[in-house]
Amino acid sequence: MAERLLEVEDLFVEFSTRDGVARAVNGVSFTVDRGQTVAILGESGSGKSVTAQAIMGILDTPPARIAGGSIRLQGVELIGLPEDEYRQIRGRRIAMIFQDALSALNPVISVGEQISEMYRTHRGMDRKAAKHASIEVMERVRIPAAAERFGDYPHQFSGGMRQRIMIAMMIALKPEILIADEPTTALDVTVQAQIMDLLQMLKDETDAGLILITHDLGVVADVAQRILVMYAGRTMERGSVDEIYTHTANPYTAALLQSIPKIDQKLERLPAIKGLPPSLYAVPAGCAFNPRCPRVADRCRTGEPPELVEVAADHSSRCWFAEEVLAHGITL
Amino acid sequence: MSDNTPQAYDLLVQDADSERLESPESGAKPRTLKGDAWYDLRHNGIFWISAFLLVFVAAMVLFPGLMANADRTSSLSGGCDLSNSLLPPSSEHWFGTDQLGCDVYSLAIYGARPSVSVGVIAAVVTTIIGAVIGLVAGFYGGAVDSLLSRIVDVFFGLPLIVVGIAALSTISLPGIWGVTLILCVLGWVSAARMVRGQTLEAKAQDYTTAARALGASNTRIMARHILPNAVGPSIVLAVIALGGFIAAEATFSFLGLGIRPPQFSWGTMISESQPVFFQAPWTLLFPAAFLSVTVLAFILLGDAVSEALDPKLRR
Amino acid sequence: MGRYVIRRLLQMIPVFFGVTFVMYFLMFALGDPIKSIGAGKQKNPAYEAFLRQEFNLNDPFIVQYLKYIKGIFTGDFGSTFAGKPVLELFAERWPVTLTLGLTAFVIEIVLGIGMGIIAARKKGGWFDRGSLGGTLVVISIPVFVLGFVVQYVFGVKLGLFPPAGIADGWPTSYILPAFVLAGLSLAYVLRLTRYKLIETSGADFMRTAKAKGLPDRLITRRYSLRNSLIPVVTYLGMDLGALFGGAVVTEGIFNLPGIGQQLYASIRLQETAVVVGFVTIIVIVFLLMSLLVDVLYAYLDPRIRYE
Repeated sequence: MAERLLEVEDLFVEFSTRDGVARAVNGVSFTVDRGQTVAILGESGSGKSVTAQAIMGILDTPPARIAGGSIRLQGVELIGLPEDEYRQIRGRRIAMIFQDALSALNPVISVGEQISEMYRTHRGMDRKAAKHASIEVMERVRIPAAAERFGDYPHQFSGGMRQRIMIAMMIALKPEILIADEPTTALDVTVQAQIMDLLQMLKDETDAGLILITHDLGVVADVAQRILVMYAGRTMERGSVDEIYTHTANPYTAALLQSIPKIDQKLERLPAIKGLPPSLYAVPAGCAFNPRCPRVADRCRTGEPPELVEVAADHSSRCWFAEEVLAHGITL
Repeated sequence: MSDNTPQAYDLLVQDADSERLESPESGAKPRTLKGDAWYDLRHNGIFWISAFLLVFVAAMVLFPGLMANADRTSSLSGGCDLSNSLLPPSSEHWFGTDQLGCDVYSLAIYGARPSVSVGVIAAVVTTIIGAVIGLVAGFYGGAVDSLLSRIVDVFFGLPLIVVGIAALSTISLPGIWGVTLILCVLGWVSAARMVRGQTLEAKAQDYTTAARALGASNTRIMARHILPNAVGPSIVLAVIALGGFIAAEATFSFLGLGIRPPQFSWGTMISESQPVFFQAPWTLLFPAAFLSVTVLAFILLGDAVSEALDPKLRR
Repeated sequence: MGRYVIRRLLQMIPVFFGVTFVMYFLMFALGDPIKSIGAGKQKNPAYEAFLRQEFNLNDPFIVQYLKYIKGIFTGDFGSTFAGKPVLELFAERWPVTLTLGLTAFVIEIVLGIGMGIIAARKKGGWFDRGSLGGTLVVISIPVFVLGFVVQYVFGVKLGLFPPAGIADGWPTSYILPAFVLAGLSLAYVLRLTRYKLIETSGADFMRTAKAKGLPDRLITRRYSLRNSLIPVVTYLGMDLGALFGGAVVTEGIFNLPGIGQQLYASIRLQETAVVVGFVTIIVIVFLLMSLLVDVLYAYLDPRIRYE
């Protein structure tokens, strides 16, 4: 069988700080194929951004450290790759879009120049050719009056436009993998839809793989084929979106899905998962979710955490009661 | 929420505080900015060095009599003997003597008070003036801000030493008060700018909007939400400015414009030692050392506090 | 950009009047300059009356001030005891101070920024700690003390440079005083550069730059320095004006015949016209520098232009 476009296997990432060692990513595995959209879903602190940054190789080491596992791009191992080789991959073969475009863009350089940087660095183009190409890509992402706005600065654009600029910058070289880290969280709902449509369109044009990091279940349902649910650095559930959204096998996922307000529901209180995600320096014993789990039992609180097991074809869950949840669902 | 009196608002704030940083189950101690800052400060060797030095300085200023003899500073009281002029350091005179035969050690100890008091008064006054102006300008904005900012610009355009020189050469107030006045009049600009900046930042935050929506009065917002943000950096600024003011006083006295004989400060001592520096370097070096170490202590303290409060410099 | 410049220029006008007013007030309303002017030398009522007339002190304050302003615009700053126009004296003394100032300026830029970059790069290393410590010491020691010590050690004891005077011309005669003058500012520039570089290194756009696969040198130049140095440049710009203050002391110690030394001497002689005139000119130059710095800042940081 041909190798997958991107394979992440048993990834472990640790952070060493004054308060101790935090396992930000604790044994995460998933794959991405051409043209596929994989969503990584989780609350803050679940380790989703760290996973993305580990793939890009842009973690600050120290205090971060990739403690184990493998990340393979078309079979080539990325962990441990010499920096100058990794640099040629970043931006060109794997690109990442960040959440807050205003702080992610260089405030003192024009947006056009920042896009040109991609062409000049990776394709060796000269200033004029790069400018030309940049304007083209700005038009591709539907920035009006691209040629006139080439010389404008990030703060002169609206939030949605800025995000388009960041997207333009990152898809300029038609990367094979695009990672979008909460690309719409900072935007209005209407703009969100536009940006997600844009991402879809661009992805389809080049048959790239898209890793979408988000905490928004609605967006996942719209665009992703596969989903990875993370909690406290661990994979809680993994599989196809259709399957998981209709037949979840994990209490955490079930709780998340139930906490979305539905228009036909008549409720006094919004169902919510009680408590907060744990500090990564003090993860609960047993299953990490046990203090907040609606289906918790004694065996969840002690001993080893449950393993990730396949409960159906291409559907894995990490829970002692996975089959039960799959069959009967859960009440909050 | 139907109740929008300040008490209800307090309850809201309390709730938010309690579940602020960690979930109860996690077991890690919640961290606050003040707690973090104190931790950093405690573990910073420089902080302890400066604190130690400042205790000494305080002693010199408040209880000079404990450390030296006042009589030995003045020829009037018979403590200075001209025949003892310019003696090098000895067991009798630890730091030697100056041209008038006065004991340099005693002079250095007693010279602390005018030098440091000018600095302290100027630092306190300028911080208060600056904070008030900055707060009012930033908070009310509009025409008030424009006017106050112009005034700040005006005073910013008056370089301290140069204008101080001009003012002090004509002023009719006695030395030490003249210097203090000039420093207070000219030195509040950085405090004002800084507080104004902090005020603008705080004003833009959601918590201020929330407070306003809950019906908090202007004074309450200023006092409870905006001012606390400015306190930390203000302290840092004040401490460092203190060092600067002490140095400025010394400079003015050195130029013959500040404190004048028969009063003396470290600055005057250095000034008077100029003609005899090459023959009797101790007349300059000891007061200079005292002056420098004092200024250094304040700056170190300011530095340490600023590092402790600044999250960006964290490892 | 042009609009910004015009706006700043217009703002300068009230500031100019404010500055001159406060200066005049401080000099003439808080004290009696006549008592301080050579009154000790000539307690001659006729001379005192003459001086009062000369300085317009018999007029109401506002009139005095307006005449003072008029004097500024016509270049009439009064005369020395010997009758020489103050403006002429200033022009004579200006080149020495300019040379000293520019030399110090270059020193503080090259060494300050250079060492700041090295310190930031090897944060926590020996150079970093040494720089931080060294700059603290320099900041704490007042200029005049530093001046004496440097003069003594390098000029007299070691004999490396002339301890005083400009007999040896540039650069020899200016090296020691330039270093002393630059000292305090250099310390600040070093620390500011270092601080800003460290602060910028944690910024989000640095992460983006890395994610784009850009080469290190480009990132340093366009992302790190370009953002960090803006405040440093503005500080340097303002410092140019502040150098005048330090020059007074430095020129006095090293006996350089510049503006500062003249000011020093005139203070001792209580030659008020010169003191007032020189200070006025210096402050106006400082104001113009501030304007230039503001414009420069807007050029470097596009976010400011649209305020």
